[in-house]
Amino acid sequence: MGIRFILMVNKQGQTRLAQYYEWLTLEERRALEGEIVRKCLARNDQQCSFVEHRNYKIVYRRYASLFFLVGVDNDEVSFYLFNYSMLLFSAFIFDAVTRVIFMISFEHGYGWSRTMSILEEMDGWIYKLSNSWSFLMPDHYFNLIHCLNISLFSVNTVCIWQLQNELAILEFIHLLVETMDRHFGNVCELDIMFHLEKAHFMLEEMVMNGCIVETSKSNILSPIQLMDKTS
Amino acid sequence: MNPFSSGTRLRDMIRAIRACKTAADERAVVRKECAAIRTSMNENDQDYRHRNLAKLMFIHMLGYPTHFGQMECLKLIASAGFPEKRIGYLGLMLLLDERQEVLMLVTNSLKQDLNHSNQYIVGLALCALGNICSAEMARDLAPEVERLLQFRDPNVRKKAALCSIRIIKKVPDLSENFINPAAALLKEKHHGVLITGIQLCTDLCKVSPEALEFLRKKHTDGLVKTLKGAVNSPYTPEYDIAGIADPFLHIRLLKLLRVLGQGDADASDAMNDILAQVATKTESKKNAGNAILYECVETIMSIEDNGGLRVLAINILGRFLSNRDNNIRYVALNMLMKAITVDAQAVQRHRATILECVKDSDASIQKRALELVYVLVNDTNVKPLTKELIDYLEVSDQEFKGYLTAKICSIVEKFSPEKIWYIDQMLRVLNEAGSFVSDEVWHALIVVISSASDLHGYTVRALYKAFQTSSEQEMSFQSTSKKKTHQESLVRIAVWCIGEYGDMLVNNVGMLDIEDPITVTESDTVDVVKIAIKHHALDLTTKAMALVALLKLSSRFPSCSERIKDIIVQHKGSFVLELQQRSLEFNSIIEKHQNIRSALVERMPILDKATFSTRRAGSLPAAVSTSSGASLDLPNGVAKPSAAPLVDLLDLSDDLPAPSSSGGDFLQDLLGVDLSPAPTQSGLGQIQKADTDVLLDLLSSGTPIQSSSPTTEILLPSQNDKSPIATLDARSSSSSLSEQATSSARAAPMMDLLDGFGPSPLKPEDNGSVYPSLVAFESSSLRITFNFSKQPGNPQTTLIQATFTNLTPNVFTDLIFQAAVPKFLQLHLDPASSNILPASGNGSITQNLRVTNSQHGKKSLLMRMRMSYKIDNKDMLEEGQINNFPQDLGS
Repeated sequence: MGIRFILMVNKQGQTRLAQYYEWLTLEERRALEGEIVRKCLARNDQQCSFVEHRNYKIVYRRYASLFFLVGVDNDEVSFYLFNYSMLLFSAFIFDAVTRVIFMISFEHGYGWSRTMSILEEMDGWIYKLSNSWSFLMPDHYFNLIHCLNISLFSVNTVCIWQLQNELAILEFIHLLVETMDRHFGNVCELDIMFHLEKAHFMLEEMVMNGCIVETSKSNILSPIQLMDKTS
Repeated sequence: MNPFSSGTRLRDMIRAIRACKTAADERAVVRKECAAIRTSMNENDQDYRHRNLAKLMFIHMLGYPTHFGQMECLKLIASAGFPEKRIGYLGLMLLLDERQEVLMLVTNSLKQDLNHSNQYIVGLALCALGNICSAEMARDLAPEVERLLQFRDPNVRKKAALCSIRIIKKVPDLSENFINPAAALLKEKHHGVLITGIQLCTDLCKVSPEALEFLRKKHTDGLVKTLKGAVNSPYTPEYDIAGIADPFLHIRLLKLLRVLGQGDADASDAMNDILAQVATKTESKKNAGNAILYECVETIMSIEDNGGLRVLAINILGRFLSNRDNNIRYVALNMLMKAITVDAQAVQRHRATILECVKDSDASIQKRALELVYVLVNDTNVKPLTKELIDYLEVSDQEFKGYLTAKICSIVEKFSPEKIWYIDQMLRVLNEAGSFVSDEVWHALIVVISSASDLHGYTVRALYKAFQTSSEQEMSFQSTSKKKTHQESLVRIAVWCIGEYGDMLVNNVGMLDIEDPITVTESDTVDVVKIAIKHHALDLTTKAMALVALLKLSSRFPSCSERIKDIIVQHKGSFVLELQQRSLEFNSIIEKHQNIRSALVERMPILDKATFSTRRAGSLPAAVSTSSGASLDLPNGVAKPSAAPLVDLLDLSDDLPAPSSSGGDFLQDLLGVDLSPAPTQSGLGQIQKADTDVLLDLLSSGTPIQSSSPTTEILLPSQNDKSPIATLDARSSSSSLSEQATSSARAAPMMDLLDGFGPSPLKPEDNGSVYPSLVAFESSSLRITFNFSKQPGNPQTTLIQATFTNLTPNVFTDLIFQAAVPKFLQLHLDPASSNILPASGNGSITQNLRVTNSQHGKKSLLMRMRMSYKIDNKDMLEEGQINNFPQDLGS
């Protein structure tokens, strides 16, 4: 499902649980948490549960005084990374070959929103094309990469991100809360805080490497209960 | 002893941290704890190891460094007991990452645990591996994971499946080994294994075309059956969410089907029925149902075309869009963005609703909707859409304004059907959100205004009115002590236009039918600029622009000259150097140089849109290939390999024999303006410099021109002992203002040059005086011939008609001729008769040049030139130099 991080934050903005599925330095984490929390806390109940922040899309839900935040990729389209200078050139070439291709040319590691803002500065039409990317046929991906490899330049990174189903993430948050509720019985902030490791174990059973592992509450909880019993 | 229930000291620490009132207190507590943990670690305290780690996890969560605990994790993992291992692995996942060297040490423990007899320990190891494995570890441990995919316990199988995803992402070469075991997982009944198996297959399809082909052929039908089973499954309390059995499984299945169906008609056909069933039968009252519908729509949009299904999908989106739940509306907007490439017409039908969403109170929805509107705009609907957006700009909140403004500007620029509409819309935007308009946008607007010569009067009047209203508003807001952001960009454009076209404002020149006539006196106009310059909140650029406008007005309205002088003089004491300097210069122009003032401040030539856009895209690499086949044995032009074409083009001094008089003199002339110390000629120096800029722009074709100044610097020291410098010094010591009078005369021809950009192209007059024509350049592909003439009574100026002839059998396109001359010459190039040169000499292009020699009679003409053109879209570049102009021309 492409989950990048899961945060639990209270109304005062204090982190109560943080699990990242990608590497960020300590400073980046602190900054990210601060920014996101400020953004989400400022929103009211009528507003939708999705916030775009940098290259993340945050799906959040509030339970009493605790906010559950799940960060997923903000990208819904496939994304090729090339050498910067080839940008416009390649766009022209491949516009003729396939109906919707644009090249995003970067050394490495630019996020989607940043890429987009740079692209928009350069020209609006590229942006328009970008929205058609998800319809690119898989065959074309490989043809394209192949032909790029032999003819023009080497592909630095190819990363194909998948579409996020925000509604499903929202449902997942609810499942997480219900699971905790079943284990702790009327779960509250303090339960999570004082049983941090248990909360993490539960999360471990539910999400691994950003993908959902298990959706049955009893399956999730059985190893934890087993351990409680033996000890 | 149970490590998890006896963590009293962990509790104490958490309590202590919670009790902290300030961040400093918290830091102190954490520091103390960290010190205690370090000591305990050094003592190799077995009993407290897990507790220490639990504390470190908490400290880590608070955002403090915990690297010193990493080795403890490894020790815990290596220990035998399950609870120790468990917390050790948790610490490993939280405190370490795949980039750290320490991680390599854990590979062996992981390998042992993957082969452990206890399934829970195997599960722990798989989980850790799945979260943090690096490429090296993936290679080392892939066989173990592969084996575990067939483990008897489903809980291990599901974890092994997700672990495999990580491995194939890190090392795509390994994907081959996983195809068969992954496909086997698709037949599982256990939901956890099934869902992870599907995810593994999805990722396999992405990294390996073979896997995609295999799964598409062999498993599409099976997956369709599985989905059918899931949709029709009876009530299962364990997986039930809102009446749907395991929506997560539905979504995962739909995702995999999408991957399989994309670009394959047969596979798409096979899933048509079930997709239709999901799309029609799914309960849409609850979030879970909507999540499935959303995924289903996405799949329908992605697989091969089936008209009926698409209609169904678009209808679902329409329903989503009119839903009252903001979450649903958000995803609908998201999805429509994709649908637009499939069926733009259908999306256009929802335009009104989407526009409503732009005005929603929710920032996320606003942004999505605006992006959607942005791609919906086309030539037919640009006018109503822009109107709506600009109307909304008035009421939108500040945060959103910047974003909205950028989008509107981009739309207007791209789709504007006519200039008057463009100008109108931009004026409205400036009025509403002038402070959010980026520099590039208002620069572009000035270019457009300047090129729309029939709209000058209209524009300046509209701007005048807009400026008046905005400053009145500001006044009234000030009195009610409300804060209103001033419209900086509006002021700048208004001031610029008033400076340029002030006379049109007063005389109501070029009145359009739609306008109401207004009466503006000359002094009103000056008032407006005065307000702009007095407004202390405005920045330096605006004030400087206002000063220039005033100078221009002083020449347009001689009657206000005195008043303008007074305003200008007020800035004589400005602390800002730029303003002070300009004020002094302009003052002296008004006072002492009446004769040249009108020439100095003439209306700007029409700005060239192409130049502007190339400059804007200046960072783009110029793909230029030089012509290698140019022959070297030429009668005149010297074709050179252009390693640094521009430098060559500009510094004629390097390899040229000094024409007639002393070399020092020549060099001084060449460098003249740049060498002179700033104070002597500052005013005119600036104008001259501006001039040179224009000239350089002409030559530059988008490449930066710093190259000329280094040349100057290199040459400078070698000049030191030569006589020209002495004269230069003498000049610099004389008083600056009186000096300007003399130097201004020299500047006059420079102004001519500027004028030349105006709409009056020079007609070459044949006055009978005959000069021999000259083959200025000849290579294997191109010949240029110069014909000379002079206007009677103006011996300094030579008119040259250049004739280009193509010597190859290929047509040249995009022919551009550029020329550069030393500083004692002024060069003006008229546009060429065409930029396409027919093949084999069947026709030619002519271009007129005008060269003015300020050292007429002393020095002869010199010119260096560059020709770029395309043959079959291949860029060619040639260069040449002419130093054998007919003697009677120049001296």
